[in-house]
Amino acid sequence: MYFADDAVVVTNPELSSCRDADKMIGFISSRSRRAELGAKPVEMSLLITRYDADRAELGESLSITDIQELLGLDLVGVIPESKSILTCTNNGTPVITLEGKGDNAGGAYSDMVDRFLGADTPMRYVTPEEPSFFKRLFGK
Amino acid sequence: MHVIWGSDSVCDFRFKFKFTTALDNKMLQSIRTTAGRSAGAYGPQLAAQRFKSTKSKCELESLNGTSLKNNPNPCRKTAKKHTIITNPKAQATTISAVPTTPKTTIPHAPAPSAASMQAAHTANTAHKLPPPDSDPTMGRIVAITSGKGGVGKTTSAASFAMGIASKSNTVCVVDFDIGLRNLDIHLGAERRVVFDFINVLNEECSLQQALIKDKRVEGLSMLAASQTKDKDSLTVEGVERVLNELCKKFDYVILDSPAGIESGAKVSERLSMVSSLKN
Repeated sequence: MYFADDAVVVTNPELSSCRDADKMIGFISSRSRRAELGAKPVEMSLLITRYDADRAELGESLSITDIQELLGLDLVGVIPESKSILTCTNNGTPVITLEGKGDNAGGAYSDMVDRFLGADTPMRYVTPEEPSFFKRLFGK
Repeated sequence: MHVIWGSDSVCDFRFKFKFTTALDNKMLQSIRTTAGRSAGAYGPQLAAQRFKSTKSKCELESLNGTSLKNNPNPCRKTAKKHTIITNPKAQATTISAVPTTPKTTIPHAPAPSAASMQAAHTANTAHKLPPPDSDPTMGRIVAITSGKGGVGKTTSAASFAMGIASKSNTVCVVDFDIGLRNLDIHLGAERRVVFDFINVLNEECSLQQALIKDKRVEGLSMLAASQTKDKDSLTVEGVERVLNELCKKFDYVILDSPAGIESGAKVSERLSMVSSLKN
């Protein structure tokens, strides 16, 4: 971390991880090699993982705007909470391989890579999914 | 008499010679022509060797920054330089064992310890990372970090690295969570780990031996963390040397940091300690 040119700060939408991330941001901006040499500062970006849009909507967890206000970094990606992440870890396949196979997290990681490389990709999976026609019809 | 002469000749390699002895103009002229010719025609290493063979009393110091910049194959040359300049003992003996020519007297002969210290310093700078943004051919170091543990750093690092590698970049992802390696499981390479980061750091194997190529994506490699050693095995100089090597090979070097700020703080502390020792 001391030698880093870029830093991706990972946080969950909860206060404890945001506060730790905040501390880390301060640490990187003051104690990194770039800071010590007086070079261009480390480019930091924010990655929110395990984001649940429904719960954020209900106020049960921090929302993206809350986190951004708290940390003041550019958002590089929001990874939705997904059951497939655990399966992928156990299988030894990174989640991004599920891109285009109907998994939100894979697509979100792929978008994040594009954004990191400079593309201007709109955020996906950050608003609650609209309930489908049948769900609306029959209830949950 | 002190004569300091710098030459920005053909290969932009600068030598600084300090003559601690009184030299007459004729001898100075002959040295100049020898150095100029050899630096121009054969490159810096041969010039250095030739200089040793002329047995004039000079301390040879290469200014590292300029030499690395225009170097087409920095890895090989720094290795060579290491063998030539950075053998403090040999250099010290050359200096002390050379029979003095009648015209030169040494009022303040350079102490061998000073010479060896300088040589050691040159050795250190050869493995150092160049200043940030100074060399566009070097890969970028991306740290995946968070204060708290369990937020998905390793998961993100694995996916991020694979994503960047699939966009036709060369990527190496390094597991810095020494003692608790996990990244190899995320990438499905746990059975392929033979050598790890600490082995490379302690020079028990080459970097090439420790790099594990991913079986799915071309251009993605991994450097696993050690499970038997702890964070105390990391040294600033060692990490810098390995990162320097990695940056020469890859477009992106992704570091999967451990949770907490303790290890990073320690690294910074050590660095300030080292720099104060140098001063």
